[in-house]
Amino acid sequence: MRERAARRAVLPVLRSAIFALAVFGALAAQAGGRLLATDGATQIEGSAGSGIVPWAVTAGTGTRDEIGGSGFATGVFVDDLRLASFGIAAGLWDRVELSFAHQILEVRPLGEDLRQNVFGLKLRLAGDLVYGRIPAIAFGAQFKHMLDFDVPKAVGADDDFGVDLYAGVTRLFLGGLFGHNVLLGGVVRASKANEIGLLGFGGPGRDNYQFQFEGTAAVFLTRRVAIGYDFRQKSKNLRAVNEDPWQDVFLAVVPSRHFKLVAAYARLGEVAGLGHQDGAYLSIQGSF
Amino acid sequence: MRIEPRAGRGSDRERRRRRGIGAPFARRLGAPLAALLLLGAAGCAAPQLDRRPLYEQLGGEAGLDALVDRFLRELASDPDAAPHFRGADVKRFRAQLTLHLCQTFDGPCRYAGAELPEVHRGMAITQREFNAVVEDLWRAMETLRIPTPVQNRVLARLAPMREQVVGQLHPPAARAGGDPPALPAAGSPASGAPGASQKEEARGGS
Repeated sequence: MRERAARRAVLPVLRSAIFALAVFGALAAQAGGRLLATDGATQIEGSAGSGIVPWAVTAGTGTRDEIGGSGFATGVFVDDLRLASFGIAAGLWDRVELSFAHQILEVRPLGEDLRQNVFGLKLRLAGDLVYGRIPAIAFGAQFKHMLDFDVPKAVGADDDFGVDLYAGVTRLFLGGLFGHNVLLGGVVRASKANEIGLLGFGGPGRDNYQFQFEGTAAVFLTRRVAIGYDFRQKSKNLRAVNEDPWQDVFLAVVPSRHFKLVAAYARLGEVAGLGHQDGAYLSIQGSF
Repeated sequence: MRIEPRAGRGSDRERRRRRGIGAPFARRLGAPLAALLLLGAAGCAAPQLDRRPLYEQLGGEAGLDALVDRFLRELASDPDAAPHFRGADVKRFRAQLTLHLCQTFDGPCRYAGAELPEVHRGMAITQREFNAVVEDLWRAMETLRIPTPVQNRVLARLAPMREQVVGQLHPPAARAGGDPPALPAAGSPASGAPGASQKEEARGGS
C-alpha cells in the first residue's frame, strides 16, 4: 500500500523528467540569449526561482525579443512526507511568465496523497537581474486548486481554492562577495494557504490574507556552481495542526544553458501534525 | 515515534517540550546558521581581496593579449557574434579592442577610438547578441583559468556598457570607409600602447 503510494508519487516525476528531456533536446537548437543561469531554477510552485522562493525573473532563456520556456521535476524527501512537484513554464519577451505545476504530497503515516494544481502568472515590472541600475522587480499570482480536500477539511481548512499574490525583487551582484557573484532576492506574499495550499486555504484561526516574507541568498562559487539559502515564512490559519517556516540550503549546478540541477537540505518543521520534517530536496530543470 | 495524533493534542508549548527544550531554537536557526557557515567558508576559501588594478590581475600586457586572442576565437565561432565582424579589419579591431579593454581594466593605456555608441551605431545589436559576446568573453576567461573573482570584476566593468551597445539602430550620418574618427584631443591610437604614456594615464581617468 505504502509502496504503491510511493510509486504513485515518484512515477509522474520520472515520466515528466523524461518528457522534459525529450522536449528540451528538441528545443535545444532554439536556445534563448540570456546569460547562463540567470533564468533561475524552478521553485516548488512552478515559478522561476530557487527551491521555495520565486525570483523576479521570467522562466526560460529568452531575452526581450524572444520566447523561452522551462520544465522541471522536484522531489522533497523528508521524514514522514514525500513531495513531488513537476510542471512547465513559458517566458514571453523577458516580461511575462506563465506556469503550471502539479504537486503531490504523500503523507506516509496517513497513507494519503494530497494533490494540488498551481497556475502561475508573473510580470516583470522593471529592472533587470544583471544589467542597469534597477534590480529585477516583478509581481506575480499563483492560482492554487487543492484536489484532495478531505484531509484539509478535516483539520479545519475553509477552501480548496486560493490565490497567492506576491511582489519580488531580485538582483545578481557581480563580484558582490570576495569577488564572487551574489544573488539576493526578497518576496512579500499575501496568502491564505495552509502549507502552501496542500492543506487548503484559510481556517478557523483566520480567514483573511496574511503577509509573509520570503528570501533567498546565493553565492556563485564559479560561473556554474552556486550555494544558497532560502527562507519562507508561513502563517498559521489552522488550529488543529501547527505550521512552521520553511527553509533550505542548496547547491545548484548549471552544466549547460539547458540544464540545471539543484540539491538541497530542506527543513520544513512541523507539517500536518508531523514534527521535524527534515530531508533532501532534489530538482532538475530543463530550459530553452 | 514522530507520528502524533492530529486532534486532541496539548498546547504548542507542551508539544515543544516533548521534542526537547533546544529543538525549536535549533529548528529555527539551524539552517540560517549553516548558511552563514557556508558563506563564511566561501569567503575564507577565496583569496584575500586583490586590490591591484584589474589589468595586473589579468596578467598585464601578456595576460590581456592571451585573453583577447582567446576571446576573438570564441567570437569567430559564435553564430550570434560572427556576422557582425564579417568583412572587418581583424588586426585593427584587435588593436582597438585591446586598447579599450586595457583602459577599461585600469591598464596604462589610452583608447583613442570612437565612443562605444558610435562604434556600434547602425548594427542594431540585440540583447541576445550582447549576451552572446559576454558569454564568449566569459568562456574565454574560463578556458584560460582566470580566477572566478577576476572574471567577475571584468564582467562588472563591462556590464554597464550594455546601454551604449545594445539597440544602436540608426547608422551614422557620415561614416565612410568604416574607419571611426579618432577624437581630436586624444592623439593617435599608437600613442596609447601599453606602457607608452605615463602622462596620458592621469588624463584618461576612468
